Amino acid sequence: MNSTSRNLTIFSLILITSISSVSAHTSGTGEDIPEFEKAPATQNAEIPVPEQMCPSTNESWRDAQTIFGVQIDKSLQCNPDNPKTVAAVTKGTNNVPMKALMDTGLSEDAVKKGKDLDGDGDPDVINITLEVSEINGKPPSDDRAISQEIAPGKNPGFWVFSPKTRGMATEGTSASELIRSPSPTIRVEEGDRVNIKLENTHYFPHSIHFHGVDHDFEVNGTGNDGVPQVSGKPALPGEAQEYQFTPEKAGTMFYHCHVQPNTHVLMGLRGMFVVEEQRDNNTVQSFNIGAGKVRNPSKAVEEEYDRSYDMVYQGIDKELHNAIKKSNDPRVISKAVNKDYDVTERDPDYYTLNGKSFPYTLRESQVIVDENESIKMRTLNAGSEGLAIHSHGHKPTATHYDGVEVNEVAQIQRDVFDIAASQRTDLKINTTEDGLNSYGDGAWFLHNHKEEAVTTEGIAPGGDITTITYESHLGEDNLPQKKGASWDQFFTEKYYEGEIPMWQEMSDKYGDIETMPASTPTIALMGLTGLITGAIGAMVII
Amino acid sequence: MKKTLILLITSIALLNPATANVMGQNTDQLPPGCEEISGTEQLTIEAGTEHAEQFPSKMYTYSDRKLNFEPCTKLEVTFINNDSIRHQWMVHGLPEQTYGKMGMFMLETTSGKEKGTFILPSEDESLLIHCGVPQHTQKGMKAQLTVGNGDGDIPNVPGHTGPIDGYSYDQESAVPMGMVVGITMLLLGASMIAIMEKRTEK
Repeated sequence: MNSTSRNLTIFSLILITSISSVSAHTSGTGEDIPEFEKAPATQNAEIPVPEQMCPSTNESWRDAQTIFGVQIDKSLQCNPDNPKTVAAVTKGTNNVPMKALMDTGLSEDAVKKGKDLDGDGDPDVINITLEVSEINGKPPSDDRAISQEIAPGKNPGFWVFSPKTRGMATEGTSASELIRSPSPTIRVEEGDRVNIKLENTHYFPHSIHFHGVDHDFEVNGTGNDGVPQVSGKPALPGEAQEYQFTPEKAGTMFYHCHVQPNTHVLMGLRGMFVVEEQRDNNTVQSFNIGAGKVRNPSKAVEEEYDRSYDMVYQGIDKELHNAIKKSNDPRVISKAVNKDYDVTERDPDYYTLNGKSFPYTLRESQVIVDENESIKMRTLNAGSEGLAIHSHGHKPTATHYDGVEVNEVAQIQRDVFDIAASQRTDLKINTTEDGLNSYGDGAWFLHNHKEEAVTTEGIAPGGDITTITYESHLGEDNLPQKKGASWDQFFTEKYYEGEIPMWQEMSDKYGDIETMPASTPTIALMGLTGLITGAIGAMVII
Repeated sequence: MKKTLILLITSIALLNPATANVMGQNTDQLPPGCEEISGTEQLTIEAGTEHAEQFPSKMYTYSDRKLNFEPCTKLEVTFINNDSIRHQWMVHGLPEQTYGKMGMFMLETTSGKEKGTFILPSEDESLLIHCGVPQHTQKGMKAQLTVGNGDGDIPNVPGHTGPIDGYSYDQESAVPMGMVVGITMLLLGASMIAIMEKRTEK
């Protein structure tokens, strides 16, 4: 044994003797309060000033109104769609005055409506132009990018299809209101001659696959299915590509990018595609920005329902969505998204309904109803995980699966509906209080019953929770009436960062535990461990 | 008569919606400090992916990204978009008294060509030019218009100024190389100590 090893051994023995004596002292059996009864104090967090629960909006937007001859239904949401935008995408952006169109941020070729081919009083030639936009990309130092939160302090990156806009699309502009997750619901009518032009304004190749929509595989020898391996080259950045079809079957369908769908679909390049049943004078609302309430329902829906809602659900793994913030170099992003990110290890952190998580879902995606009504709720599972939609207080009926009507005698009525990835289920909510369809008025939770889906990064309540809100239960701010626990903390970033103790608002009994200084034995033990490790390391090297 | 005139103007605007893609058009209003137009210049700018080919990390940019004109110059700009999508040539920082609250002149077109005219301010300034389509600025569509001697450089202009929040391209090779160098140095140090101890024993 050399001198170094001998000295280390002597020092270790001294340290062990010291620890033994301290331990014997601290674990002594005196007549004081037993050690195991001693506990540190409770520490509550200071709740920051919550953000405005319903940010100011133009209240007149909620009213039923007629614009450009288009009837717009009322929308009692805190944050309703701009009725002028609803009117423009219904009438056709080529059929409204330019000045009014400029107010909406839409380009004049966002949705062009042409001839009434069958003479039934509505246009049948529909030309739609989509762009591809990024939200919450790499935070630039001096460049203004679109930034949107899905919940307080949460801003994962997205790529979305958006109606073609005009002018600047930076924060606060009209155009930026049209660019959001989810990609807009697109609506056409059975028998329409639809032409959808994809102008790829993004920095990766993209295509569109019209999932479930009746379309030819090729049109004039050109691929029309959007699958790069068998249906032709996708649109490269700066290029445009067109898809044409005349859907003969109505139903709730799906559209999404089919280039590297394992990441492009999840990044947000997907939305609901609705083919409405053919009726006379049936000019449909071609875009429903951000999904949610349909303010200009089709004639067929109006015949049977009082209100109509589009509901798009998706889970988000922030590891994928934040990969686009790594750099502004498309090659770096491509590697981060397509190679470094492994979708087989996917682990969602956020769950969204119409692009938002609770409490923001309540600003724009409540299912607002009244008594004795019939509500059409189209649901799309746009994510990769299963969906178990549960409605409190109601047993809806599934009328259509994947756009196909279920025989009336076989229609299922239940309070949890399983919807697999990419599936669509049309639900009918009957608000007649009869103990089966509805248990009466209220602000009833509506959520995915997979328990992780009602959280935001594991903190509840979050995720895709919204409410079936009867008008009599709407509060002054057009959110559900707040009863029970305070909502203040839900509108703070701190709550979803896990810095506010659970139930703090109700009781001090569950607060955070005061941090205690480390005990002497613990420090000594750690010191000894470090010393021994260091000594072994030194001996190995020497 | 007045109604007919309004109808005619509205009809022309609808027939030619491209006119609405020019914002801040100014052919004769002198910005504050300009006593007269100092000169008239024609400028043709092209835009699209092909111009970014020389910059490996960029996707879109302009044919010219560093421009220099005298104060109070009247610029007649022709903007040619070589792509099949929308691009803008948008100048910021113009005097609000002349160009409104946004202080902006913009040409926007989806492929094809757009023309417009504006008058530069009287002060030496460095004006930002960019495309406001989401992510186009970040992916390379940025330029600098220097009025007179300018007042500094605008960052992230391809071929002109470097990024201020650049990505470290050596980060992937840095870790393994750092480990190799570190271990080598450790072994070297241990060897030196061992040699020194042996010499001490002798």
